[in-house]
Amino acid sequence: MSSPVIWIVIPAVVGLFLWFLRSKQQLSLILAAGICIILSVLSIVLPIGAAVNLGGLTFTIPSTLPVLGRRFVLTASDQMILTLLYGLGAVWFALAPLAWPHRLFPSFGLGMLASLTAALAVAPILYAALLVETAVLFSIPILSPPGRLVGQGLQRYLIFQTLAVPAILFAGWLLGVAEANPADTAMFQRAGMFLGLGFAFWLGVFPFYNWVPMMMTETHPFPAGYVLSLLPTAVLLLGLDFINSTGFLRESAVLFDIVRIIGILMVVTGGLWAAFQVNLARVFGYAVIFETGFALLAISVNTLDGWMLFAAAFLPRLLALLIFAFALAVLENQGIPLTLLGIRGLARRFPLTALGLLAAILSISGFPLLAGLPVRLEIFEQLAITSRTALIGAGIGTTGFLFCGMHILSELIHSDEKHWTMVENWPLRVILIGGCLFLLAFGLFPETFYHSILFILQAFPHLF
Amino acid sequence: MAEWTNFIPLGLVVVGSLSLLWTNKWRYNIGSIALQYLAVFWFVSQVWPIGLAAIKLVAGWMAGAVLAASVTASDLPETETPAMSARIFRVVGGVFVLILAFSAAPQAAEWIPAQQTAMISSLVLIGMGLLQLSMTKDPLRVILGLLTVLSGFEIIYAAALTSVLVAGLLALVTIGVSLTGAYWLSLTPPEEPS
Repeated sequence: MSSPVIWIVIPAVVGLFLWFLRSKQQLSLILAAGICIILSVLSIVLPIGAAVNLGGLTFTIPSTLPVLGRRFVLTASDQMILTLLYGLGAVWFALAPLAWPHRLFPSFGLGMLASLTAALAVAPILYAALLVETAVLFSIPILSPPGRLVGQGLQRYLIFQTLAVPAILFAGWLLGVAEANPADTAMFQRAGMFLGLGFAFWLGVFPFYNWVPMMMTETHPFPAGYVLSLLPTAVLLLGLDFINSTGFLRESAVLFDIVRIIGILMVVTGGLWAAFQVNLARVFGYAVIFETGFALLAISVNTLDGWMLFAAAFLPRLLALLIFAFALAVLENQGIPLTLLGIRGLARRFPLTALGLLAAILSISGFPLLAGLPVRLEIFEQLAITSRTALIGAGIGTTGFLFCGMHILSELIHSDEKHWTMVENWPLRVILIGGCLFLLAFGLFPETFYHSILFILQAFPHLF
Repeated sequence: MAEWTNFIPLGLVVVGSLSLLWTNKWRYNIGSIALQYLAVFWFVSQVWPIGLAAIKLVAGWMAGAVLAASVTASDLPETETPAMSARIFRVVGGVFVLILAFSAAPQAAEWIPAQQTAMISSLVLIGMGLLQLSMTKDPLRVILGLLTVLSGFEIIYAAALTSVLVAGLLALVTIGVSLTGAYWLSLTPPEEPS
């Protein structure tokens, strides 16, 4: 059994199986979380490509699965990526019974995970575009479950993600042509243009990001949080794979300048729009934009330190988005409007949800002692060396997001009530407190947590 | 095949994509999509083996059938015919796309190994699809716009690359997009009887 069978075919088959089990929501969510945990653990303990000795039985797990003349390859260097993706899936599925126990979530969520893993594994890499599109199509029933009408944000999400497919496929073909004739620099430029356009559509990069906050207001925050955590993570890793495998991109100073400019624009606009936002679901959308902007800024540094920061930022980002989405889901499930007016004085009745919400937003804005700060500080330091303008832009955006956090804090505690109550039940309390403690632990002992995630970079050896 | 015969699918593309802009009636819209995929098959069959090219036709027509079945099943009322001024505006936009496609095709053909008529058809479909997407909020028309863009892309991409996996995955995406449309249509509540 090859590694692509274990981490692509098996979850896809289990996803299909869970579709038939969709009437048993809790069971299917537990099974989805279980398979994700197993796959995540296997990605840590199972050596791909090396001999495994199990009770006298020796076997090897091949890294390649040929399909119709092309290959899916998952080597030992990809194992940390698999741990990250399936670990992410495990946490979201495990929390779903409390936040959004929808019958379509386990099967389609697992389908998304399998498709995105396939996208990261396929060779040549240009085929990834079609597999990412498959993941996007899997996400549609999660984002617009029966009972919710389709809004314009969701339509734009599908439009932009689908428009990325031709751009990426075409860029892949142009890169092949250009590499066959390296003297033709115009072909490289065209390839770079299409590649940039494709990734801009995928990541919701400025100015193609208006669907992100729009979509957040049209759907439940939990599934939207899942999609907006998983998809940008996979696409950013795919972007790294493109840069790693294409010499022209690695050596192009213009590419990293463009990435830096886009990153600044996303951080500044994401932070400023969040500062003046009254809808919390939209703030989540701007948080995703803001985080993607910082990821692009880390990429733009294009040094070993920059790549390490890019990898290290995954954990605090994903954790903060998880807690943010979970807290919003708790409020949404209670029928509380996700607006500043709706959450006024909420800290008196939902203290832990309010704490989780605030901790997540402050962590995203790089507040001291929380998970986001160590990486932010390092990025600021790198930007101070490479581009002062970028540093000022990042500062403006961060201030905007911090202002948003303070605004939410003032609304949460603004109340005439004299007494404190705790409406959250015990499981919610445990998860919210645990999430906040993790955010604090990440901030206090960053090296303990970040050390392992840096192994993601093993999959991209040509970057440094 | 004689060169002039390629003007037939080009004509189908122009008529199909303009009629998509002109009318909101779903029967005509699905018919237009079917015509467009026939044109796509025509062009692709000149560069790919006929069996492989047939995948485009089958996937495209299946997508149309899925959407048609879904519209019928969802029991949606026929969309109101847009005002004549709106139709004229859309068609004028369409004519601009045609002019743009005819003028840009010679330059594009310099770096993509496609026939002139295939290139024009492809650019027309991509342009008309984008125009459609920019002018609608209706889920069905969004899906039709996406299928139009994808079908246009498939013509030039087939000229650039022959791959069974790509053909299969693109067919999967085509059907997937149409299934998404069908799903969205099933979510739209029927109008209250007056």
